[in-house]
Amino acid sequence: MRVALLTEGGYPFARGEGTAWCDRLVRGLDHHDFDVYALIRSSGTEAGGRVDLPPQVRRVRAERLWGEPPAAALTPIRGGGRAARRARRAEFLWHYGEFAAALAGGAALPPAPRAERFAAGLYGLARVAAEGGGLPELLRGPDAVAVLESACRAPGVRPLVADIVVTELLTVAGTLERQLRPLSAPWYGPADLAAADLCHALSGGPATLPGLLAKRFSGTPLIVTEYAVRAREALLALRTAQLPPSARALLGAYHRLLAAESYRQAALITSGSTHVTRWQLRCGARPERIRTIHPGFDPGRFAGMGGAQAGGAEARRVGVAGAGDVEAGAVAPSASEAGAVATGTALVRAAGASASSEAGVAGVGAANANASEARAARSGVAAVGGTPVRAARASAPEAGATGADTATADAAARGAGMLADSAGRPVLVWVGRPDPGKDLAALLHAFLMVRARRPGVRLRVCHLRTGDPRAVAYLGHCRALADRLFPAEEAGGSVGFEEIGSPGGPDLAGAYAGGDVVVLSSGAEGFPLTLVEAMFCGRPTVATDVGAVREVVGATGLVVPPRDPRALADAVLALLAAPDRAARLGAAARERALALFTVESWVAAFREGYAAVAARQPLPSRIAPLPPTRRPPSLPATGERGRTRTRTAERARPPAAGALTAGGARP
Amino acid sequence: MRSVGRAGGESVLPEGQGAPALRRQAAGDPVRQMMRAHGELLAGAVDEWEIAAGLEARGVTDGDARRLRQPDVFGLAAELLARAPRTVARLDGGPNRTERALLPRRTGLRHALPGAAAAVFPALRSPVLGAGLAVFVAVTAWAALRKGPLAVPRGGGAPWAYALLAYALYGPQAVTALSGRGPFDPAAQVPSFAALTLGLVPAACWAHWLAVRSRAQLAPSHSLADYADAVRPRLAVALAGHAAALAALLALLTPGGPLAGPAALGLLLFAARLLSGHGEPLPALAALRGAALAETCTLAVAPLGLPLPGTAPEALACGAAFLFLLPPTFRALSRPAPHHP
Repeated sequence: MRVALLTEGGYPFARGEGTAWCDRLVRGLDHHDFDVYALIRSSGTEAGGRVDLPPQVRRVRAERLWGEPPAAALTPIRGGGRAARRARRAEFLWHYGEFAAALAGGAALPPAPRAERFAAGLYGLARVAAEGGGLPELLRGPDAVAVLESACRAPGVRPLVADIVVTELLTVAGTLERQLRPLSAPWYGPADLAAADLCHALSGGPATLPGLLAKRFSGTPLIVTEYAVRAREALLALRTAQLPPSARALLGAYHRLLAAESYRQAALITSGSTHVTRWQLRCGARPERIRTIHPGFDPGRFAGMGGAQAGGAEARRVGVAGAGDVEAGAVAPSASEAGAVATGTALVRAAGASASSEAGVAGVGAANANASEARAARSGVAAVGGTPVRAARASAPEAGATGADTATADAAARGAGMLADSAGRPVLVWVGRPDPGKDLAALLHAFLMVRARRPGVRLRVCHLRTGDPRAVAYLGHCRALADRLFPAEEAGGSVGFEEIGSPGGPDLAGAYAGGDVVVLSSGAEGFPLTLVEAMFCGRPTVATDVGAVREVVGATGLVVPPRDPRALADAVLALLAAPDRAARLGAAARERALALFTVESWVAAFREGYAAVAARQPLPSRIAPLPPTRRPPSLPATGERGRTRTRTAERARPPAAGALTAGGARP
Repeated sequence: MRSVGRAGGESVLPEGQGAPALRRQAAGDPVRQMMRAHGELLAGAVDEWEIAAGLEARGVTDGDARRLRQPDVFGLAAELLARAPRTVARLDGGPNRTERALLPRRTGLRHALPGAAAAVFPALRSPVLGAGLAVFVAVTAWAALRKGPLAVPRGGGAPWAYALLAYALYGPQAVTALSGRGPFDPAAQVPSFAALTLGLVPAACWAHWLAVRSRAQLAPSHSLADYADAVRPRLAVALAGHAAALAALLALLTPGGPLAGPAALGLLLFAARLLSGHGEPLPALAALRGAALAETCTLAVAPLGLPLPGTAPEALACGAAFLFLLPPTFRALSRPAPHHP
């Protein structure tokens, strides 16, 4: 099948947004041919170069949405005299008038006719570009500004827009010219988009424009995939750019109407989380065409860490090999510790691997524990999209271990030794990109409360490397706050800031491995990658209830309200006080992540979606990965509603609340 | 339809009355509390979509909205939009950038170079040096027009402009010679040609002045008609100013020589350049082509011995073409566009 991938500001450019997951998807769908049609949002994206493309990507065509329009698009197609020129200009003015009227909206234009006029104008402009050429020149000419003005001053348009002034008109006209450049792209010939079996837009908004035209002109079906709501991002960007209100109203309407049109035309809309779905529905997407497909991640680099915790370990060594290999966490428990259990969990991705070889691989990790017996237990098989994902656990109980042969007992034993770092103190870990939205201040304040009730706990803030000056400034601010909150600390301190991947700093897997509880304190969040990674590592998590956090952790982590350090502290203390519960949650989280967020299930979902859309068959009712077949231990087997209740109950009064020393009234 | 206070960020509520009342009510009303917490977001918002996006970015969830008896964040945003005192403030477009209306010295020198070279032309006796100087004038003129206030995005009818300039240099003498009224003197028109070349400097000055003054009119103009009304007199001043400058240069360099022909040519080239620079090359092209063809016709009919003085055809052809260009020039320059306001 020949698939046209439509991107904007991302794949195949290394510095683009979401390039990593696009790359994983393309590599996963290796039996299709891909043509990539990329829209470039800024000069920086191009300067970063392209990623290595797999052979199934046949070609890449790129068009800029910044700077001057390409010369080829500027020159009108020859073959017309003055009369043809006039006719083309009149046609342009008519279609741009429809388009501008839809943007201006107003009392006289209810939603349905507004969307109709938007679509009519948009496709009309595309036809002008295809038949006469020179559309960018017309879009940025004085005629376009005049049309825009008369649309804004039309009766019934709300005063905010009707009061638009000349500078704002120019801003809007200039921005629209850049946004509409895909209409002039030389992509719609019979050898290009028209030859594709389907168009797959990897984000909403401008990336869908070529797909809309291909659908209109050659009937190519369209799939729209959104892991972030492009229209919402555009609204926020307009606000951040401090554009004047009337310009924001018009351009915001453009992004919304474009989203609505793309949802209307798409045969399949995939959404990364319920948060995205909510916006899609609000923008007019029909629920029967929306399918939730959670993003897939490669758990390879976290494999072997699922159970890599050992009681009273003096030293923790976590060996992580290159991604793709089967990895094992090597654990060295002290010989004096009775009842210590070393476990190594390996995710075996080779379909043909036998159970004994799995056990053998895992046994390497547990070699130091005098493994007398390796027992491989299939703890969960999630058969998703035909590719079984097998999590095999091999436990090697030391002599003297009693009854450590059920998963629950394993977990409990691990949990008994959970509270340990190199100095024997429990460690909280935060991992992520420094950004004001992450609300590290709330985390530090919560940690202050944790320390007040349970001294000796450490916090590691493991941040990713960043070159963004805003992020660097925020990090400095957080360090200053930490110094202020925890002033008289011994060397090393209770709060450590570490950069992942820096010399002497941990790598990503090591960062998770070094913590007993992973905390996410964000005030706002899209799809929380940190949580997924922590879940792959089998860490218990405490997270704030923002973005897609709830649907990611499900019932396998504690969720607290955002911007509430006390609730965060309570939840962390509850986990620290009940190590076996924490271990149970960690194990359940890993199972959940392996069932929901692997590349295999993700790619399979898209493969199924492609097949249904290309064959123009009705969509399968569910192409999202199935939930785990086996309930995690000790969690009530309930439906979605019941699970919500469980979480709410946990949040309201943590089961371990009795162990806490002081309650303290919540604000 | 809600009316929106737009001027200078004024609140609809009178200062000193509304604010304390709001604060008193806020203690009991959670929605009011939220309005106060996100006052800055609400004050500048244009619709509920923007508020919903902004609330989510600040961590407000559907759960928070339900606590405020709204179905979700969108409902909450609509409620906040309806209840917030609207203080949509127009940004002043940042710090007001004032551009110098005077041509930068370096640009001025670049435009003066070909004229200065042409002015020393009559002093040269050697034909080799003369040819070299001619090449120098051509190259420096091309370089001056490539960038700066007289630059055009795409070809502005250059061949026709060269034909007109060639006629300015040799045309009148050719007409005289062809009609048998005198010998052909190739150096006779050089001083007026030098004046025309020096005219690049006032042309650049006026074009720059016009561009700066026009841009300055963008911000205060409310509608496109306001802008046009403000720009038209400035364009007239620029054209008249250039005409005066050309007349002064011609009077200085060719005392008692013909004035109308070279001045009309200078004005025509100026107007054509302005028009092409504003994305309307077609009328400019038509005017230049018409003038050049008309002048060629006078060369063709010269042997018939019509009683015409040497520079009259040039004045007539260029003057008519300039008049033809005036309406499109006024129309084009008084309409702003994103890439050449």
